[in-house]
Amino acid sequence: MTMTEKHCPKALSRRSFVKIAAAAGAAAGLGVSMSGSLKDAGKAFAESGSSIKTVKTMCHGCIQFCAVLATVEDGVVTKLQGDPDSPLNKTSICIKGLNQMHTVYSPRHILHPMRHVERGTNKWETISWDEAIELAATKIKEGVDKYGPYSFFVSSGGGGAYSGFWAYGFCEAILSPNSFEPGGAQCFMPRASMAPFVYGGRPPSIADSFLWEPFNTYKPATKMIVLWGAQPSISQTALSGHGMADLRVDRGCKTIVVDPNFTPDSAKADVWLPLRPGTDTALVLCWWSYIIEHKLYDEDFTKYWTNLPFLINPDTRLPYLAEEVWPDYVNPAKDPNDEFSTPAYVCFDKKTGTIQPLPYSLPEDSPVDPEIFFTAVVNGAESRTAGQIYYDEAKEWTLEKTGEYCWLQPDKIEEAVKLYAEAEVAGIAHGVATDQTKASSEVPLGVNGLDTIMGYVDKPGVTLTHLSEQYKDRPVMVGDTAALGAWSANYGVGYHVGKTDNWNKKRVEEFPDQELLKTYNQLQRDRLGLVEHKGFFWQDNCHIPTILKAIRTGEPYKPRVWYDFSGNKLAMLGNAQSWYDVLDEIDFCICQYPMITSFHYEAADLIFPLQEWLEWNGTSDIINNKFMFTQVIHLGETVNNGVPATRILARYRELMGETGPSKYTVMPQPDSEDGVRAGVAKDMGVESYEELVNNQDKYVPKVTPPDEYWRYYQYLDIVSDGLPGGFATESRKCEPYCTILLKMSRTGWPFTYPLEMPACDDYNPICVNIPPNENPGDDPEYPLVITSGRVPYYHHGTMRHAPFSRELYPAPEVKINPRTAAEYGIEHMDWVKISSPRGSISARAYLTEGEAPGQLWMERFWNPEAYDASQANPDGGWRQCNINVITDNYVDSDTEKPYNSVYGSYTLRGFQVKIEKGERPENIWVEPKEFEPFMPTLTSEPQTGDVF
Amino acid sequence: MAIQWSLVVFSLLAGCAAGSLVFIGLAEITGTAKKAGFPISIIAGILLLLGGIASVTHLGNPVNVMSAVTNIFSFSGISLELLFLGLSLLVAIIYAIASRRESALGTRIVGIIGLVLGLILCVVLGSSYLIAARPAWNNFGLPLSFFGSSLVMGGFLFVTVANSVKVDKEDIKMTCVWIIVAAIIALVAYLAFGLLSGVALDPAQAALFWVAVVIIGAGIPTVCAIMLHANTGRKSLAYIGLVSAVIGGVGFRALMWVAGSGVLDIFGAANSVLPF
Amino acid sequence: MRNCLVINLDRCTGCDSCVAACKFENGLGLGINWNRVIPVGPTGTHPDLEMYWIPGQCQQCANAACVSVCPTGASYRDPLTNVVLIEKATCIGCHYCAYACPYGVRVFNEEEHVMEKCTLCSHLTADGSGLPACVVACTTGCRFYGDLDDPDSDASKELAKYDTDCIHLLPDTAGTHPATRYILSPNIAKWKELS
Repeated sequence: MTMTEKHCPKALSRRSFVKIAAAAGAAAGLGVSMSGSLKDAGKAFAESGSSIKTVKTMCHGCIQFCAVLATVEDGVVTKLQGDPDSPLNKTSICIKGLNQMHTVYSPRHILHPMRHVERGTNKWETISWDEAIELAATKIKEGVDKYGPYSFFVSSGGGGAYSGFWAYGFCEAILSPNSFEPGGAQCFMPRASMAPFVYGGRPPSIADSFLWEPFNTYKPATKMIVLWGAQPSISQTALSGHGMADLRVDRGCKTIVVDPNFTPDSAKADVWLPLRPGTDTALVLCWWSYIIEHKLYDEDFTKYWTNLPFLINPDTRLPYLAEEVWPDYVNPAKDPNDEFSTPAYVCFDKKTGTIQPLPYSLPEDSPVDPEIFFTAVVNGAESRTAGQIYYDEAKEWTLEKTGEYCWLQPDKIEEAVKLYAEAEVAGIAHGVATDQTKASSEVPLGVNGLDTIMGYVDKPGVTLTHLSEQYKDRPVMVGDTAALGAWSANYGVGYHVGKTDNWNKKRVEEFPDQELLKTYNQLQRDRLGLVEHKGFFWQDNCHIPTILKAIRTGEPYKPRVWYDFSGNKLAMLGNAQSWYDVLDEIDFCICQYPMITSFHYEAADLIFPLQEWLEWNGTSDIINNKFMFTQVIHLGETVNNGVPATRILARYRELMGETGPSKYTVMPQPDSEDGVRAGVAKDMGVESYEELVNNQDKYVPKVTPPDEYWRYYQYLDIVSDGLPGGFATESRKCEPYCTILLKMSRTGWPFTYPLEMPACDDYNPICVNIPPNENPGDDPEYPLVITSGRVPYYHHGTMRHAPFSRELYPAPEVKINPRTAAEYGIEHMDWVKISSPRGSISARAYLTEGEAPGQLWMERFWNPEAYDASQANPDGGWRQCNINVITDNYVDSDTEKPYNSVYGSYTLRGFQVKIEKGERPENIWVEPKEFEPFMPTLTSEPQTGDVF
Repeated sequence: MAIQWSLVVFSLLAGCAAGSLVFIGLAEITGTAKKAGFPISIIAGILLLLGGIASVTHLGNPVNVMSAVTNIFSFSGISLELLFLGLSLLVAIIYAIASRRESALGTRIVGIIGLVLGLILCVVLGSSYLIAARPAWNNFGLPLSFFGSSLVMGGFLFVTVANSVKVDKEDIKMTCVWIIVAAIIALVAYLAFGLLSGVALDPAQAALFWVAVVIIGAGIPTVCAIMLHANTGRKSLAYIGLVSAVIGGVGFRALMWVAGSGVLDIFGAANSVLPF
Repeated sequence: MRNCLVINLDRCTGCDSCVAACKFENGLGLGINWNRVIPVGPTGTHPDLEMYWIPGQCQQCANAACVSVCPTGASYRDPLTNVVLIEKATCIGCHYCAYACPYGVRVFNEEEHVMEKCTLCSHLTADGSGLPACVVACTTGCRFYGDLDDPDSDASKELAKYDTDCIHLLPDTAGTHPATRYILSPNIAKWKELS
């Protein structure tokens, strides 16, 4: 069967679907290649009929998931609204969620595996699932046979189909080390991983369903919250956004917003600090300095529950252990079983006026009264406490100096820091903004540290919380997705922080499959860019610019077969042209997604059709409520986003002559929809999926009793060793002076243990000022600083095909202060051209005082209409309005050390550009009626059964 | 808001016709109608008909006019317009028939009825725009401008036709006096509308207002009427007066729409940055 | 009976979800809206700014000019709910109601040749069983529907939480007496009279 369709949208009408099905029947005898596609859905909840029913499901319009109710009329979803059972979004649903009714039925929703006739043509040949899997597995094998497994690499991210952690797992199952996502180092990883490093707990990220405490209505306690580079009202509109509205209005919670953008959260804030993009570290240090100088910190907590009183060895930069000073010292907290590690450190004792051991204990049991800020001689060396080191670093950042550097009013900084530090309880909720700067590690390190010295940890109303985990033993940081390394635990790799050296050594020695362990260590060693940026081990990712260079140059090896798991890489990756330029080096590109994007237009050779969320099965939590994604409808041959990879891997292993279960296969993804359903039922604690979906009112949501869910002060609970639980760090205390970062930079510890990676320059154990690579005034050619952020109409690279979003926000707007605009003769809604050394893009000027003079703001964008059937000269739609055409990944830059040290983040916010009047670019739509070709066409598609 | 050209054409044609009916009536009273009455009543009838058609094109669907007719006694602005448009048309037809039958008493009675209806229609055309929601419209200058504009156009239409059918020059002189009065009313009305609505001082609209509406629409007709009064033989003055009055009439009506913003245009404001 | 919306601008973040919810519920095509959200601001000079958003739709005026100017009675007040509605079958599309509306919230349906506007989702609300789609969808819970004359309605209860200096109307210079109330506390922003 071959059916060449010029444009996929046309291929997906009901009529074409029937044609395809008929052709498949003729060619394959119905039941082989297309076996699933014509089966009756057979599920009570998805049946067609002259009925109206309501199904409980969840929205996947962004990275938070709202519980929703879908109304199904005669098999067609006609209405979406929030599920009143949801404690946070309640009946709310935002425009992104509502867009699903246009997305799942969009003429752009692909329903069958398709092979690209030629890249850059958008001419696709519909093929069977069997053919597609065979093709993908064969191409991977060809590369592996010819060039070895490192010829293969994967990517994920970008929005719309979330496959991150099992994408990395798939890569490792092929024995290749290299997977990445455009987010990763630029989104989520830095702030999500720094919190466990600093205090061993959940990150205070309000965007990712990590942070629920402020929305605790069972025992509401949050009185003051700082949104640092986060805009929940826009990015998580109906969930955290709704929660913030409730907090501010119903509970009178004070808010500070630190954000160059005048977001709705900024507008509602008690204090808004619109700092110059990329200068967050200076402001963090200013807060540190002010709080220390004015003694606003929680002295008891800082003294006994942070590592700031520890005296630091100036040579190693690590805290002295008591045994290093007093060889005969007997640590009272030493575990007689040599399993759990609780070191004793060295402090300057105020009571005796001498340096003394600082053993781990409850504060009231402490034999010493440690000085937090002090310099003492230890072993003959002048040694500062960690607190003193921090203060010395911070104190130059006075209100005035910081104001000048960060473009802030000093009195506003002071008002903010006092509001934060003088609150009864407060917390910093940290957003994506700083992940997209060179200071991606230093900012979360600094803000998490601030919360620790304020004692805003593990108690009601804070943002550093543990939730329902309950300690029986001394808490340990181990390798899993929430704490340390993506899949390392499955391979036996990684040091369990909090356990003793001997215990760790023994664990490694006794790991049953040494070959597996060594293989994983080898993948870690060979992963691209990881000698410099070892923070990537947390997410099993490689460094994006480094893999790009490897593709370009073949050094140290050449990745050439690409499996992209989701999204539009040309819209989402920094310096998009540099990626476009290496596409010719890619021998074969396998993709999976529910839509054709610019990336598929330009790069894909093969694409697997994925489910939109109304076709999806799964579960997720809203606070202490577990809800389910229910497959409300199913069109064509779409599958759950884990399915193609598992199927490809199985076929690949057959081709490689492997039998039996693969020991490298750690992907926990089921390979069939029934497998997914079984997982959902299990997760919801119900015997069968049928029972679950037929009785959703009974089972959904599954509620964890609030008194079990909300737990505080766990660090004070006495655990098995008779000591307070403490925190899952090496010192068992909060580590604002982050020792793990030092050790990581030197050996890869704890991620690669037992492997010692080559050392790189030390990572900063505390927040230090990291100036942006580019600053106003550096280059007169590019006088304006530009930053970015989201708008409520889109999430990541998704929904540019959604007509109701597009008519409201048809083209990206570059926000500019009217005074700046006047200098360039730019008027409101003029088309403008924005250029950096990488290229130029177009946008419409939005004049607003919300933007600081000399600063621009622009949402990222791409234009799926550029390859609509109606275009005379179609193109990939990623060059016109895509801010990533002008961002830099520094692959061709002479900037020294342009990336964040720990995470290798490149800069997407806070770089220099110029602006001039421009013109509306080719092939893009702006008038509401122009978006008519994006209106839904698939509502008459038949309901189909499972492909697998 | 956008200029509603259907309604501009409607009120221009209907106003011109209504004005000419007024002048027929005046001529009947002073006994100066004679030869001109018949052709003008025919022209007035045609203009009313065309105006009616123009107004119907403004409806969602032209056949909806039947609903408007069946609801004529709702006495809403639009039904009053329709009512007096219909009555005026009827009078124009009856007048034409009467003058064909050379019934002097008949034409006089019908002419006077036409004068009354014409005056009412001249006002009705504007009064339906006295809407509180449109601050620029909601002042006496607006209906008065419709009134003045309609009379000046009607007057010049009258003399233009009268000249071409060779009406006695002395009779025309009398008509010119009325036109002078009408033109002055228009001048005052336009000024009142311009100042009360703000268009006279709005930089975006002032040029159109002062040049097209005040000078061309009222000033030139006044001068023409005075000069015509002095020398009724100069036919070109009648043409110039008519064309100027029509230009002014169009300009006024177009400006009215341009300036006719609501108290608050919510849907428009959603797309723009509000000035503060 | 004064059924209408009460909108708490202290909560509203201008996300436009109400706009989309309205369109999906009422089957409105591209370019057609029955509600929109006006960004008011930012006002002031960077960085000393204020901003709020006004979701706008039919204000359910007590003295509804749209009803009085309608030549056919198509614009009418529902005898049961007292809500101002349009009966499409009798609308002749003369636009006078749109001219008479001080707030520009009526839109002409070019396909059906009739005037349209927010119905407060009467198909859901008239029998008292449902809420308008925008109220249900609102992502900040800023919209409240109900009868201002009924102290137990959601709308009245929300208003009752605030002092009169926080409760605002759109400018009533046309004397139509809009029923819709906006809540805006001075600490969020100073109310600006729009024009």
